[in-house]
Amino acid sequence: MKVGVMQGSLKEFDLAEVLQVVGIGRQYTGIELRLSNGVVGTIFVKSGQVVSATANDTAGPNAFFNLFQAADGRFFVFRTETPPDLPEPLGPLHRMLMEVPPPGPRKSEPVQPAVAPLYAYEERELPTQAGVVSPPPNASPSMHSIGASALKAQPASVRQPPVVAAPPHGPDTRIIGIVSPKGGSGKSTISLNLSLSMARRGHSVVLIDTDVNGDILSAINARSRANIGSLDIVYNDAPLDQALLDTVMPKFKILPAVGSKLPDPELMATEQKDRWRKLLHDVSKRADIVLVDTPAGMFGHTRTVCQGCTHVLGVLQAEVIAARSFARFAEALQLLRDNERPKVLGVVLNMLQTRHHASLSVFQEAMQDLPQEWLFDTTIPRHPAFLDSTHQGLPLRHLDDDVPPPVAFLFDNLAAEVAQRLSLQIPALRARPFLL
Amino acid sequence: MLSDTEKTAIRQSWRLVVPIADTAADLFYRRLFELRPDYRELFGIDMASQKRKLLHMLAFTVKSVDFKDSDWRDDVSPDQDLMLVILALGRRHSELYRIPNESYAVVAEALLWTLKFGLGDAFTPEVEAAWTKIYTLLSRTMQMASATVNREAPMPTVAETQAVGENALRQQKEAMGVDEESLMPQEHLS
Repeated sequence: MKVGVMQGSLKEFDLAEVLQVVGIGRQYTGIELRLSNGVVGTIFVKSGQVVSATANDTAGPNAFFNLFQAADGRFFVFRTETPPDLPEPLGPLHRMLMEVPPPGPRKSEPVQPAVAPLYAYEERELPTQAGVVSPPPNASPSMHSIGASALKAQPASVRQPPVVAAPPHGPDTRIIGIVSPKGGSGKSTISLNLSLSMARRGHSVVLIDTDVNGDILSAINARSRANIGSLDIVYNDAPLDQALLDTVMPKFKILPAVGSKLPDPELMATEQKDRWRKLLHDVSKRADIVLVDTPAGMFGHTRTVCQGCTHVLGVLQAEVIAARSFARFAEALQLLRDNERPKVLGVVLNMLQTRHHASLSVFQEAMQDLPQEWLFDTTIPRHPAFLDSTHQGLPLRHLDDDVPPPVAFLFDNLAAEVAQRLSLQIPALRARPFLL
Repeated sequence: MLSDTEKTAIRQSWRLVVPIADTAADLFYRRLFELRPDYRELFGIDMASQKRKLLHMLAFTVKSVDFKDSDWRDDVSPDQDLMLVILALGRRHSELYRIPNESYAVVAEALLWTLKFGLGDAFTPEVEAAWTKIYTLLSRTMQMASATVNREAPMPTVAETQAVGENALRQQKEAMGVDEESLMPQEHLS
């Protein structure tokens, strides 16, 4: 039996506000929506979790997001008996609200079900690497359905790039997503300096930037050099060859995030998993190792990119809030389908301040709580050299060619650990005598 | 709607408030009337009762939000549901007590000032952010109630809300071994 709780106009209280209010309740509560664009849907919430969402003929996370496409309409909140067989929730409400794409132009036509066919992934057997540990145990079938339903419903009202088939990765493919649940944890710094150290070891490396906001080129003060970025390739079919930027290191190239102007924001709000996967695959054919700098957070855009990676490297900032939010790292990976879940290459502790108890405690807790094999032996301290590096627009190693700051060598250590965990062959050493 | 981190911040900081709860209530109303002396007439003569209501509501709020995400399937009765209780409270505030909407911002300032004063160094930016968030959520819920609540729907009554709040505060005091007799003198923070 439905018991009406409240009703009103979305002009007065928008959907996010209504959901936030409903989210503080513990009862099984529905929000019926009749939007001005013709979409009719219902979202069920319980204890701050989104239990289910439907919008016209679609269901699941995309139905949830579709219901935000109109600012006008009516809502009706009701409570009802909790069904005995509650499904796994779509996700915590506060997190799903953070992933709501910005509203697009108001559409008069109803949202249609997805037209994009699913790409049938082959089960890939990733090579066994020394020290590489699989993520947490397999996700439950209901968790799989989250990913599946997310694919099924793409808003047809958004102009879509053509669907492309994403090939499976080969056994020698090394695409490493650099991820962190929290922003400002140093992903871009780690990505840039680790890429450089990997290239110095003799491996060919491409660093792909997928973060529009904290982009690598801004870090090296070269924003004006980018004409085409990874997002232009994914959303606008721009050519990859013209996008790769050479560096002074012959084996190190950078694919910036965006070119001189941003792609259509409406397009960027669409999930293009297969196109990202294809881009990562294409780049991996041109390098031994691909590192992918991702936006902050483990969901949304980062999640899409991670599905095309073979490995992820987590960056844990040695700071209390970052540590508290790091549980999202494993949780987000667990929510991926088995055949789309990258392996955990490891977790690097960043910005460690050994003179501060709170920072050290993060280190101690990481040692204690994370799977033993995850944490790299190398930890990166907070150091003024990083500020100089950003100021000069150079990787640490290139701050001073003759006497690089000592902290730069830590990335060589980290690169050695990465290479070992990936079972990378050491490039042939030049034979040379020691004694003159 | 709160993250586990925010729930922890609220729970742990509230544990520090419980032993000085009565003093905190005194401080809150003192600050509120400093900010807006004209609000004094919105309350009756019996301020002691009003202070108890405030503490009961805060205790109930802390108890209500303090559950693990993994326990989301657990049910609570309508009279213990934070959304329904706050909607009913909001409706009473607008229709019965004629509390103006602009008062929510003043109350927020008084509440955060009280917590800062009472908690001292324990009132960290994380704690402040968590309390700001929960207060914003609750005040928005109360404001939404006056405009949208279904007047035919059964809502928790004043007596029910009082009872669950009182029970929550008593449980919290018992859990912490706080003896009513041993509470700090109110001059402690004055």
